[in-house]
Amino acid sequence: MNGINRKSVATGVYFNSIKETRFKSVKISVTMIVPLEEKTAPSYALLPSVLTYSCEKYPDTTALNRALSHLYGAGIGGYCRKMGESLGVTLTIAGIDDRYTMDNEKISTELVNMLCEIIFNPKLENSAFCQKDFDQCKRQLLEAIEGEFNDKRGYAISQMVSEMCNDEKYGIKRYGSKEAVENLTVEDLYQAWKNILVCSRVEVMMIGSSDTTLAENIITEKFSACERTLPEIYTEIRKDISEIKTKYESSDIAQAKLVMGFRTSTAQPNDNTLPMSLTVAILGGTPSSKFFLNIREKLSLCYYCAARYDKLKGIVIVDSGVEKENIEKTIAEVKNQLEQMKQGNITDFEIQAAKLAIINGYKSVQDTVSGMESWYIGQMLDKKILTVDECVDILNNVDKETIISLANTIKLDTIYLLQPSEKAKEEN
Amino acid sequence: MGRMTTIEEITSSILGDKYYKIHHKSGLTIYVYPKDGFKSTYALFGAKYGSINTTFQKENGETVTVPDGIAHYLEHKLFESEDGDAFAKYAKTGASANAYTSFDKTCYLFSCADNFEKSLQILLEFVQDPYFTDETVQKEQGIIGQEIRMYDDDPNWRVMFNLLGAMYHNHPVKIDIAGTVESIAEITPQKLYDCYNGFYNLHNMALTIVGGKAQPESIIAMADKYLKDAPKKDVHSTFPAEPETVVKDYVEQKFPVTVPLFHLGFKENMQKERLTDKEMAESEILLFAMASGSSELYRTLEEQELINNTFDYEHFEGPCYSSVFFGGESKNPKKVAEIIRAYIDNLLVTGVSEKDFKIAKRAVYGADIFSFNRNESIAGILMECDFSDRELFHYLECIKNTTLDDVNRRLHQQFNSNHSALSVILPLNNA
Repeated sequence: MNGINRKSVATGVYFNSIKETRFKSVKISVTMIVPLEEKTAPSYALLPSVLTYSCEKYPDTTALNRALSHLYGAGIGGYCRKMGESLGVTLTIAGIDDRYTMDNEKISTELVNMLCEIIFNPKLENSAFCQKDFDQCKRQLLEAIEGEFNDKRGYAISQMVSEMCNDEKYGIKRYGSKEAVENLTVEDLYQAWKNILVCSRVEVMMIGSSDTTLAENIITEKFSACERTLPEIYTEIRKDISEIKTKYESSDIAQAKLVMGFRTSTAQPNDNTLPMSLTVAILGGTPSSKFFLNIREKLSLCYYCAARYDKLKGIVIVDSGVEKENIEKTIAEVKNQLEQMKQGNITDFEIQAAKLAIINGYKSVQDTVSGMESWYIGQMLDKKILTVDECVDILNNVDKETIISLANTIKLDTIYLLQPSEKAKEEN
Repeated sequence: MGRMTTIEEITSSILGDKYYKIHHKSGLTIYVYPKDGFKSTYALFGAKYGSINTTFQKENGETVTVPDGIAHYLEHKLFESEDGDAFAKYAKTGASANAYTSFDKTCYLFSCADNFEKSLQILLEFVQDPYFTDETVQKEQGIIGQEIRMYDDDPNWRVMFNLLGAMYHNHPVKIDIAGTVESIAEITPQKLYDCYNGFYNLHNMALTIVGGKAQPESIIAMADKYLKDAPKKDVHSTFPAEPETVVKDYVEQKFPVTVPLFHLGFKENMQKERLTDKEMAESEILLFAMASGSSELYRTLEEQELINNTFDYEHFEGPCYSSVFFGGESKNPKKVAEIIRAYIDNLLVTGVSEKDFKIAKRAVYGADIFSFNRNESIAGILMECDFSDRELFHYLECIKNTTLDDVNRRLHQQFNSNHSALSVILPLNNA
């Protein structure tokens, strides 16, 4: 991977670019990071949808889509995600590289301009967003929230996090609550848009073969025109657990969804986050992990049982789909596998396999535009931004003792279960 | 055997890319697509054999019908050899490995940044080395049974298979890829060997390799070393005749969901096994003009609050079947179906406009260029092309050369509202 070129271009605004000729496309993204708050989360969750729905120049959504189609199917994207106890509101545009247009047209300039139109010149009516477009986007966000239950695996994970972190900011859903979204007004959204332009950490990323000067200049100019301040970006790390929480729900499903939440004392800016991600991979992150080989392959307790680690919050989430009669056995076995690690029952093969798998993943992110983008954007809240090679070196030097001592900091906090109701069981 | 390995070089002036099509002396066709500067390499080894190949002729001429879901079961079991599991071997190279079974193919894959040759050796060896015993076959029933039940809880999966059941009278595409808990109980080592010996012969398979280490010389050397020469075998699957009509035009299921889901399908009267590059390209442009976010149809449905951004469309095509699906979440699926059918009936009279066609063509062309970004997507498309007698770069040329008349001719081949069906998933408490 060619190196990342990173510049501060306005207060709290960084322009990052990676010059790449290997791809057929160019992508520019603008991520605005703000604290996660119950009060503002609903507006920030809706904002990217409304911004990408229409703008002053293309006030009609079909006209906007047709303009993008005409640019060889360029895609604009807008989404909002949790990054620890912050929210990242991202707006992107991706299009084919100028080298591949049908008549040698240069579309890269238009792509940059289009993204800036979306972010800085929305369709407004009397210091508020257009009511009709707002209503359309709000309806679709509400339907997406209602639809979360359709995906039982994702729903169960989200419920576990809400329960585990019920008195922490991390427990706030990215959109706050359904009721809060229902109560949003066009004025609220206008305020949120104004706020995010002046008070956020902004990370711009441009990946492709085109010249970056134009994009850098426009973005510098637009953000310099705002009187900017920086919000405090911070994630609380809790280490102590007084008692293990449990929450059970039931539904007419065939297979139970079991999610277990653990706390570790390791999160950014602690230097041990990479060794911790290795520790969690050995436990349940790869097809050579303890969970996969024992819980799935040896004991046939479930089709999937995976562990993932959030380095910003320092928590580990284990999720599994299990038959009702295997629930207790699976919980016991998850605990047992972690206990084995704590006692040092880890083979060299397990450590080496996890290292190789993680390193393979790291090296491979350099082969996709989205992989490179998320590699760097995912580190923007870290103490230090590392290249793939630096991460590979760190991982290769983690020894067994470090893994054992980190495993000993992983403590069970919450068990969540979405189980089949009695009625569903009889029908099956 | 006396066969020789031959190499064709296929280039694209649009992309400035090339790939090699190697007719290996073993009988296997190998595609090698170099990606200069890429850190990783992706390999896909596939058999033209999927869930729909349930009835076929064995070598002795006898026609057999095997249990539903056996291709997928075989995929799971092939990972095991007498000397251990393929995943355990890949664990030593760091490759990320997987496999999947679809309606018409079974593919085994890995992606790696380091140890490419060792990983390719593992792939070639385990796929050529079946090992099924009563004990190992029995053991897999638990895991696959749980996978089937996981899909039973997936409303997106159910809404599609309910639609296929409503659309197809006889074609085995209507059967769930993994089968049922009952059908997989009938699977024995002997039946697995029958399927393996029929379909997993190198003449019925392809290997596609894309990435930084995709170089024809080294790959041919590996193939010479690890591929077992196979006598040419013709394996013949039979598909029952399929009427052009649908079974029923509506099917619904109550499910623990909060928002109803729908899939609306239009069945094409297929007169041949596969569509050509040209027809596929025409369909892609046609569907974009009809139903993308740039279309009148999308605008109408969205304005009436009948769809949301889960709305999507798909050209669903394979051996002896071709349909178009429109699907997503809706509070009123019947109304959506009514509007789409009326829109299509009208379009069949007016045809797609010049303006819509031009925009759609540029967007589809761009989307196709995008697909050449990723090793994984190129490898998958090369495999699909091999099994359907199409060519990767020719497809891009077809998009470029498609005319409005082509698209309107295709519209009439593909759509007839009388041959359509609606599948709906409703919340349990929905009256």
